[in-house]
Amino acid sequence: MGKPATLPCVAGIGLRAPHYREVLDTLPPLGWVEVHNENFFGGGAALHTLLKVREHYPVSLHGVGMGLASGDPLNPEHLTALRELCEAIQPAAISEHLCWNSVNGLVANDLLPFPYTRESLAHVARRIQQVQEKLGRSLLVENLSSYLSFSNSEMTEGEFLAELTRRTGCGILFDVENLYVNVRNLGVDAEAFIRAIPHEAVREYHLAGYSVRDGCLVDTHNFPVYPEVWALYEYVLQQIGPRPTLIEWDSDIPALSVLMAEADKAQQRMNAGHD
Amino acid sequence: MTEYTDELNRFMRAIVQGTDVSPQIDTIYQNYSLDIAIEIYRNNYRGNLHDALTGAYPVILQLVGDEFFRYLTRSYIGQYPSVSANLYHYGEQMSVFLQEFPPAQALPYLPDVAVLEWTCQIAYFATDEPNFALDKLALIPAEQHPNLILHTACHVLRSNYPLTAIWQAHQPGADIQINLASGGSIALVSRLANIVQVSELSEADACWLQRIQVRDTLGLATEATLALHPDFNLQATLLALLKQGVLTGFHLESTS
Amino acid sequence: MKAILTTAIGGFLVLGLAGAANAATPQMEKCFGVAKAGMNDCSSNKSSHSCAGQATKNSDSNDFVALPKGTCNKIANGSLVADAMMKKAM
Repeated sequence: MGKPATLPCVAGIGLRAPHYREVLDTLPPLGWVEVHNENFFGGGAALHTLLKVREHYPVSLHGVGMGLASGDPLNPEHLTALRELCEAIQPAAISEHLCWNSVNGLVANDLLPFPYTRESLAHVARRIQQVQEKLGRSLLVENLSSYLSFSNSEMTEGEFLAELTRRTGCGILFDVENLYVNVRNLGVDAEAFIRAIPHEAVREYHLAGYSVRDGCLVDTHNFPVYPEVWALYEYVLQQIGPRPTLIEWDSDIPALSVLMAEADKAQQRMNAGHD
Repeated sequence: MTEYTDELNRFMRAIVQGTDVSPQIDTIYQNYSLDIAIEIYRNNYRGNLHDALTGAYPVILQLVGDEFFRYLTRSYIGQYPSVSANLYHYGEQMSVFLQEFPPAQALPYLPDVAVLEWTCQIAYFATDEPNFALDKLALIPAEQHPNLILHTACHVLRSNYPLTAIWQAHQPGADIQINLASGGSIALVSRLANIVQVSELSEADACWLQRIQVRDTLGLATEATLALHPDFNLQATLLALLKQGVLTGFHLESTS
Repeated sequence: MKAILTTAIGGFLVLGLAGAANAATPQMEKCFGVAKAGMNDCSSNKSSHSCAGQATKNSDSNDFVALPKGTCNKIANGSLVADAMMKKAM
């Protein structure tokens, strides 16, 4: 394929359907792109488009449906579809969220939080290993934005993620905006989170804009990155260092140029760290 | 059931059915109440499923309008919870649902439109079929032509309503000029590269194609079709189906 | 039968190989493709859903009656029942 096996350490954008055609027609200078795995499962017309994109850009595959912490067993069809997609695309990174979405056969097509306990740690670690064995490569696991917390949690999300990397060799996709949402909603200690996770395991950052509903920060991915989140990103860059950084925008999707301008802002901050 | 899955189960039921969450979930937050948090998850659950139905059924959405579609999807979501992590799988029972949904009874053609739209979605994600190898067909001696078995990738849907016209009238740039009294329809759903197409089949073409789909030989299918439809034009049909990506390959029936 | 087939396949091959197969490419790709292409994107966020799914658990009952008000009203002979209901509702 001739493309790097890891993401270049520059800014990229989440590539969504409204921009497929423009990107393929104009081939703008994008460092890399990330797409949601499930949109391409089964192949067909959707996969055609992604294969064309892959000819021009490094691609990161980002899952929204695996449910690493779900109550139900990992869905073998989902796993197989993901492996086939990986084989077709040869992605530069592959990631999933630290969340659950199904129990007793019911599915919420969402990213749901769970208690961070020794029991759930063993459960999630086992499942990450299963996924990694199936794919034959390591997975990046993304910290979650949440609107509630569990009184029976025995550790923080940062500690939980750190232990997952030790047990499974997985990497971390550090969503800076998700951390900020949790700081504001749940009173999470951002500095403690950053201290807790092994910095060498962090392989990618996410940035996005949230919205506020009745006092709760909601991870809607429908606004530019806010100044407070840029500030936290700058702090993260100082503490952990530059990593491939993605601008995510999933509803009220703006012009491609707006996304690229956001990516430039991230790139400038990454460059500034090198001075 | 472990304590863990029990906890998830209570959370899920709180989202899907509106029951109470597990007492293990913290009740006090600095800027909002737990009810707000649960409401956001509930809203998200329904919203994502509503959006999935909007993507799967764009023609039905146009036919009934936004308000009725929301009413309809709310009812559907209550009746059919999601069972797949892939939102493309959500909405398969829409036709059955519409047959029984009292407020939709005034539009008796809606269930057929739902079947057609779901079929389009399946066609969109169907794995690629090879291009038909005309050059290889050219190598088959003429005496073997009756023994050809053609491979196809398509769906044929029969309706008592002008289904193809209804679908086509709701594609971008089309005009709505449909008379429901114009009678039934045979819709052909196919995909050429990235594009799903719906076109109308004649009775003769449908008769032939449905025999081909069950792997009748070219000879048998054509003979049977000509017996019923003497004006059947095999060459024109073959060309039309080739253009629509319906023909994907062939083999020769093994003659003993 | 053999003659019919041979003639038809002969013509099919000539025209097919001449490129008649590449003729029509409908312009539906953008709209159709995009509508289908990103359905799972909303699983990734907590969508604002300004127009969707706003039902709370208390407003779930069928306490309002909606009538179809889309293009179905433009279909000739489409729905006598609906027309009658519409008139009553107005």
